[in-house]
Amino acid sequence: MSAASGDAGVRLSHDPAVEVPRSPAPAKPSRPRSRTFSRATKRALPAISVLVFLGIWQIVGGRINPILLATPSKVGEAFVDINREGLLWPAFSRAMEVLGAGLGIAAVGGIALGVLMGRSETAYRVFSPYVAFFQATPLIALTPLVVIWFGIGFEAEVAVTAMLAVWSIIINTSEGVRMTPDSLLDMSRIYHANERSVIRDIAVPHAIPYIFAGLRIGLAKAMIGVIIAEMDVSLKGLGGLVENFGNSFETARLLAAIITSSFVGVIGTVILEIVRRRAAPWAGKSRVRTQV
Amino acid sequence: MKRGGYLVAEDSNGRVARTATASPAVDASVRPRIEIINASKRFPRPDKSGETFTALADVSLSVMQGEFISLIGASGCGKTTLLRMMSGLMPCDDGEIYVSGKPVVGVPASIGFVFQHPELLPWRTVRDNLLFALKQRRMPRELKDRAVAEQLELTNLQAFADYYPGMLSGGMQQRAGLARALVGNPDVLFMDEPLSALDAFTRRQLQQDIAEIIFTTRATTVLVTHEVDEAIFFSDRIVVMATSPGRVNEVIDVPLPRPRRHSDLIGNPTVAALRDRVLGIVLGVA
Repeated sequence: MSAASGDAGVRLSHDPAVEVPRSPAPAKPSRPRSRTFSRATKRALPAISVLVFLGIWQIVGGRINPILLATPSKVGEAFVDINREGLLWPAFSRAMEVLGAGLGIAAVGGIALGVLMGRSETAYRVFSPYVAFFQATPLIALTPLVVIWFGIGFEAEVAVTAMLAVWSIIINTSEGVRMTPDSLLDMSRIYHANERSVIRDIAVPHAIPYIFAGLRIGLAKAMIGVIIAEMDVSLKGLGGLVENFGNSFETARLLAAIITSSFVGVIGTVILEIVRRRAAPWAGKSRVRTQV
Repeated sequence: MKRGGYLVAEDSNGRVARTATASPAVDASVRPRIEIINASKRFPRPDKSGETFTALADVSLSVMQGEFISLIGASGCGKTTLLRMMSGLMPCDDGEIYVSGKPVVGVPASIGFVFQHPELLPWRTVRDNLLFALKQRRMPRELKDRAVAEQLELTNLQAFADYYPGMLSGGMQQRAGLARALVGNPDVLFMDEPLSALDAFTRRQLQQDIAEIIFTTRATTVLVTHEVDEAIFFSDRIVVMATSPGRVNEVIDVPLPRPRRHSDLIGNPTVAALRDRVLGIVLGVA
């Protein structure tokens, strides 16, 4: 083989991940350096990192004004308190509902328009200016307009969420459909597949990894929508708690509410991943380059 | 039914009977299965000069029912272009092409195509990939299922019917690609370098299997290949093509009975002579 691959081999053998499980071999000069951590330690490293971080936070937080920064222990207490006061669960479930409804609407509409744009050059040319425009616009600024249209209830929050999430889903879906290999389309022509069959049997299955990449990005944007909508529109739910605790300088409770909103996003991500594996069991781990 | 006019009567008799009953009484049945008359193809040059280059110039060729022909030649001789024009994937600029007596406009009814890469749907099992080839056919589901089961057996894929293509080796995938091409019982089978991506052992094994399967189905077959040995192994006639512009250089008969086995061809003087002759033409020294 070439000199380059020889180099790679040497480097690989110095990689601690490769080296550690081996039985003792003639020592090389560079070896002790790569034995900084045992394998067990390495596995535990993320947890250790978090614990160390929380420890430093606890120590630093204990020495400064609790309004500026609450300690982890205080945040934990705040969790228990707002749960006991019956504030946590309704806020959490409402955020999940807004996220589910908003992302759901964005998914249905975004996938439909994305498939249309992916299959029809005309549709692509007609719609892509708007998609590019709205993708680049900080749509959160439209929240007041959404309130004018939908009022200040659940519907308005869902609308803000969907409005933020839909563009990434459209772009990734249309890209995935447009990337359908010509060879598969040739194959479909040999067997006289109609457009309906091409979409159902070839283009959409091919686009599934792209669609889920769009949904993951859409989910992140939808979470912004959920919290901002509740902060600006209804003052209910998690966003409402964030706004209220912030305004009354209850830093520990504020952080507890923010961490809860992270959980909402993480749960959404996990659900998406489960759905993806069921929808595309042949695809394995997704390695798709995403569009924004 | 699927083919109008004079070929309908043959259809109802089944393929094997068809060749046997071909008689002067059914005058049109001696018409070739594929007729190419002065076909040409030009492509725009990639440099955007607005000029074109001629990929195929004035090609004429006839393929009889049940015949196996190979198109062979250096890359750029237009052999794949010719195959795509015959199968309706690409229109020709001048001339005419007839398949089963009908001018080729779009993909003709009742053809099969084996691509260079298997082009199976990764999200469908082998069985469902075969069913895809029958999807647009108006026939009861049970008949489709039976046709697929029979084809899987013929291509020795029964055990892999419920596998996804990604779980199969390259040779197995191409076997499934062949099964899909044949499941609709096509009148004409097109193959575009179907074995070029496989290792030599798998290729030889698959060549023998394919030769036998195609022989039993009596499908008229056009193979594009750049392997002289493969062309000799399969073909009734070898169409040697030349480049700039792409054209038919010479058509060579292979006077050996089909289906062939590699072991029978070892040390065969006819094969050796043919190989020398084809290679000579391809290399431009004959």
